Amino acid sequence: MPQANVVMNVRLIDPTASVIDIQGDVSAFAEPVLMQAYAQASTPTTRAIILNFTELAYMNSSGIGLLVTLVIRANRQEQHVLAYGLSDHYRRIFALTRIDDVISIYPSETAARAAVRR
Amino acid sequence: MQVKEDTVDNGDRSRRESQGKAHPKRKRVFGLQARTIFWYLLVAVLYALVLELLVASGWYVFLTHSPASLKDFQKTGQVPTYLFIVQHVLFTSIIWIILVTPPSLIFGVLVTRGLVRRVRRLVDATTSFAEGDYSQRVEVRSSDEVGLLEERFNHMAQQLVESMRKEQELIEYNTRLEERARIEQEMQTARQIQLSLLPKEVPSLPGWRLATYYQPAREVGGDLYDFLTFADGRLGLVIGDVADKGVPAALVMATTCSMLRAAALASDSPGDVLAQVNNLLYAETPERMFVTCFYAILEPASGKMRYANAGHDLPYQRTCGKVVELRASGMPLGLLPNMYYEEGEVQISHGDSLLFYSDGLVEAHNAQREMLGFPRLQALLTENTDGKSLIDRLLSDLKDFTGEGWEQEDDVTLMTLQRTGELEMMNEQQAPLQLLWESTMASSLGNEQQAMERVAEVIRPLRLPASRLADLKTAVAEAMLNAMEHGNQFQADKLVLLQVRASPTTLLVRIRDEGGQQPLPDLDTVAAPDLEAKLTGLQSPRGWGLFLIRNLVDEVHIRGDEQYHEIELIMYLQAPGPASRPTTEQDQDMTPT
Repeated sequence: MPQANVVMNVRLIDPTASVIDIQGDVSAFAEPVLMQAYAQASTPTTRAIILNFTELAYMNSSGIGLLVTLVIRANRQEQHVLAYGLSDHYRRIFALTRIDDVISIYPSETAARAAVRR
Repeated sequence: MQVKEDTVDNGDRSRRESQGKAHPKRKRVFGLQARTIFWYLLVAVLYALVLELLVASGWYVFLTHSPASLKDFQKTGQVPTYLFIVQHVLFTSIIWIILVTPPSLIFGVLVTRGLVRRVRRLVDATTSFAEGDYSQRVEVRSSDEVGLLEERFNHMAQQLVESMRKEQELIEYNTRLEERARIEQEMQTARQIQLSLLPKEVPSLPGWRLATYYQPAREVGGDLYDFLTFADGRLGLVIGDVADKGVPAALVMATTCSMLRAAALASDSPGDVLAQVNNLLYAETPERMFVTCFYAILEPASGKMRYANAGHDLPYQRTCGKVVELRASGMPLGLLPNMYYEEGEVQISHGDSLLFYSDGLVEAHNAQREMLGFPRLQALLTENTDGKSLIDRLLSDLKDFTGEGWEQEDDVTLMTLQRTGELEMMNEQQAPLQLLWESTMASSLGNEQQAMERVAEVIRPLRLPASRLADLKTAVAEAMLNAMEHGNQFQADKLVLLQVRASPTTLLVRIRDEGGQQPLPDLDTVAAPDLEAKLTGLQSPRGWGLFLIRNLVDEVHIRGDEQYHEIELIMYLQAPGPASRPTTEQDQDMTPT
């Protein structure tokens, strides 16, 4: 079984927001890694999960499915999911799939954090 | 006049010299004239010596005192009578004749004996030579005129022999030329018969590509191929080879073609057709002359082909990156009566290629007398075609194998049948889609990325804009994922075939799996996921693949048969015209802006 080619670091930037830094591929293999990262990032006070796609190498439809799953879980926790660092191509895919309706896209971490504070 | 003769002689000499035929320079010889004078002087001196001896010994009386010397009349003052004078002259003459004859005889014998012998030898040699003994030569023993004559005789004989040899060679050469011209004429006739019987045009079938190549050997070998078009749209394909050469082979070929056409009208079974033709040929062709033949009937709509084989080399089908033989057993036509011909059936899928060929291809030899052979041909067919047509590729490989200056030993006949896609067909009317790359990959997760990167590498020369390239890469990866997961169920032994084709206006990526048993997805329903339904748990969070594919490339085609599923991703390199891409309302909705 091939190994997941992805690393996810979680940063608890404040009591209400956490950042998941994604490095590598978001595909079917990334499911346990992403869910583990979400578990780390999601505290009782967390209201926003910020996904950092700056170092995203590849994402396929399975990866989009994972994001939908993440959004479903976050919604259950009344959390918002935000994202930044997406390339134009993945922005386009987010737009096509309308994922950007449920994951707010920002150009940078600063912008995302500012949005969380608002 | 003398001057004129000299001028003529000089002119003749100079002409001869210019032609390199000047007579050899005459040698200084101790000639016959000198020898005769020498012998005469020698005899005269000897004879004078003898006379001197006679005079000295008193024998002169015999010479000077004839029966009545005229001096006696002078002394006596008498007048001699006429009779006396006549008697005196006769006597004196007789005496002188007696005296002169011996030395003359001696002289004559000495001078002519050797000469006559040599001339006789020369005459004998000339006679023998004239009677056909061209080995006759005379021995040159002297350097006198006769010696020169002997020398010239020998020279002339040598020259004659030489010119006769050359003439003989010329005659033989001309005979050979005439024979060659006759054979060439016969070959030309055979070639004309053969060419007149071969189809002038290759049938045009929507969704299919047929191509032929025929190159007769110098000694025409009797290859044949034919297309039989049936009223219901089916197409008969014939390839064969007569086991003989030249005009007889061409005539048998003509007969076979006619018989096949007649039999094919009477029966839909390839095996029955071959059996009928076999019986007819057996009755009408000479012993030991037979025909190998492969006959197939193609149903273009379904891609099914039924075939039977009469001892011909097995055609190859290239499908999903593999090459398989179309097997069916049967004896060559015309050898034995009442034979049974096994039938086979094959499904030809989109992108499959079939090669029918004659033994001139596989039996071609290289300089090391190695034969091309079936394994090598099969390997060549398995390899990538590098964008060339199959026939071009095979001919190029054949040339590489045989090397320059190959003298074709037998006819080479190639016939290829390829099933193309609808889009290819449409594009072929504008510009053909050339194969850029083809490969197979195992159904293993992770290979979708490898496929996507490989395709990106192959199409790099097309210089797609970065955004279009990224779209295509994602679409390829998604299509590959679907093929591995839904088509091949991630089974290790099932492969996914990837093919990249391009024309100046269109890029096509074809991905084929072996999941013919799985239902074909419906682009209109499956490719329309509902995000709200997914978020509320009414739909699986997954299932975005076809939707992405459809929205990332300009056109998508999905098709399949009992064996395969195939998806074609099309991206236009230039703005497509209305004829090349029919636009629908749905297309407008789905096409990203």
